[in-house]
Amino acid sequence: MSATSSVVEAPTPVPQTTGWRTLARIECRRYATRPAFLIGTVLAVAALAPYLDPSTPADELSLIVPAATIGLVGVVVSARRVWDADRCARAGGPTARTERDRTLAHLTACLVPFAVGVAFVAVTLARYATEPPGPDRYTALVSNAWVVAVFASLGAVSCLGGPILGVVLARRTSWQPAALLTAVGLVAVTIVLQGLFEPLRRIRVAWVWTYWGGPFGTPSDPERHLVLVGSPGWWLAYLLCLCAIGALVALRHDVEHARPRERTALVVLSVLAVGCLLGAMWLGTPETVVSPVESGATSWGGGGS
Amino acid sequence: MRLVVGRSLPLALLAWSATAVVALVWAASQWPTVAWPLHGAAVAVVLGASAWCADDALAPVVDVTPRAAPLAVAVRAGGAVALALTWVVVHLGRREELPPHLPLLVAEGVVAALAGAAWGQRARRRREVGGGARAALVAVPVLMALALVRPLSDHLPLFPLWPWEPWGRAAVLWATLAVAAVAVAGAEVRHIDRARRPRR
Repeated sequence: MSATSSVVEAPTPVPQTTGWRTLARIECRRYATRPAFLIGTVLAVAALAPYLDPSTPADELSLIVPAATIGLVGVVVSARRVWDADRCARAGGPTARTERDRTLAHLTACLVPFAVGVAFVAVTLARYATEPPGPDRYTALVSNAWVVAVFASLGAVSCLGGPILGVVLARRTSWQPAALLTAVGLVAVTIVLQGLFEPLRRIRVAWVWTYWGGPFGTPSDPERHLVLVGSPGWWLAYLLCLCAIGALVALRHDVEHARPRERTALVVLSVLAVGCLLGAMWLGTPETVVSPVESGATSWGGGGS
Repeated sequence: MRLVVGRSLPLALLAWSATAVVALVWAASQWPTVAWPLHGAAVAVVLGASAWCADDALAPVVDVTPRAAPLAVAVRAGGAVALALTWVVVHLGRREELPPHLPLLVAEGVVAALAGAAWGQRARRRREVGGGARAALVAVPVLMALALVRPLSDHLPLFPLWPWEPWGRAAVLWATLAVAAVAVAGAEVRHIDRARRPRR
């Protein structure tokens, strides 16, 4: 080599972890300021307003609120964020951050709605501990662990799963209306598998949003509370497995940076999910339990004034 | 004309949305006690798809030519009209199974289509790229959440179902939304008219 040849210095390696963490902080902030998320959070907080009256008992049916206003909305919010970020990344040309880093950041941002869901569940559980629902409610027939598992699944994990589903969706398709149609489809299937249709009560637990008890009624008492079959504890584990699978599927979309261990993890998680699903279907409450206390309603919907 | 319709309107989205509207209204009317939130979801689909139609791929070219702009707006509004017609037809077909407040139920979808189209066109006029889609991506999930949760249903009955719910108040609420949608749509039409006049 001649003395005149230039010496090229190797760039100082930047720790990879700091990059995605910075991105994650940005994405968390962006998620927290999305109008749809803010509207959903306001609606969820408004649903807690009755608890300002100290004598109001915990309303276990209010757990639908975070699932609908934060989880369901999260599907669309998350997908939109990913598409927006990808468009920016494409416009910016080659960058130091890979698609995998961006996906990790988006997945981290899913903790923002999850935190709101956890707070909602914590408030509801605190009220449940101090002002439990009446003896005619289905919660009077089950253990505290059962109640915690149902509340955590419906109120908190739904707020994590919805946004993760949005990330997966955005990684798998660039057709933006898909997010809306997925949300509509999610609601439609939930209506069918919520537990009202008796033949579907066993397999309903395979779905990510279903009910475990409520005023489903009997032929003689249209609002009698029932506890449905299955084990909510196993269902909680099943949902967490699905969240982890979703995160891995989203990460592995970046084929260039996919890691072999993730494939193994995906297989292990899938096997675990199937195991948990079978546990949710066949363990716990073996048959539908009917509350011994009559509701007093004469027509579906509780009658009216 | 066919080229403008084919390129301007998201035909795949419209087809999916119309199918979803028919399926959702059918299910909601078939099992109203169980599936009524799907009626609200259908309203959300109509609103979202109508707003999305304003995101015209030809807009950067068409919108700067005064003569073509009204045609483009009419074509984009055609998506909303198609969805509103679908809504009306499916409601008339299922009127026996629906609650006995057909005019209000029909009005919900028509108002949603008008509001979506007006909102999308407003974003289009402001040169917001993807403004209609952005509006849809906020409005649709929020409306669906409202249909599911039905907060304050005694005071703000957006999607009433039961006979004892305040249907009169719901009519006032939807009439207010209709007036707001007509006002925004009217402002947009006036703006197109102004844009067509030759400048002195």
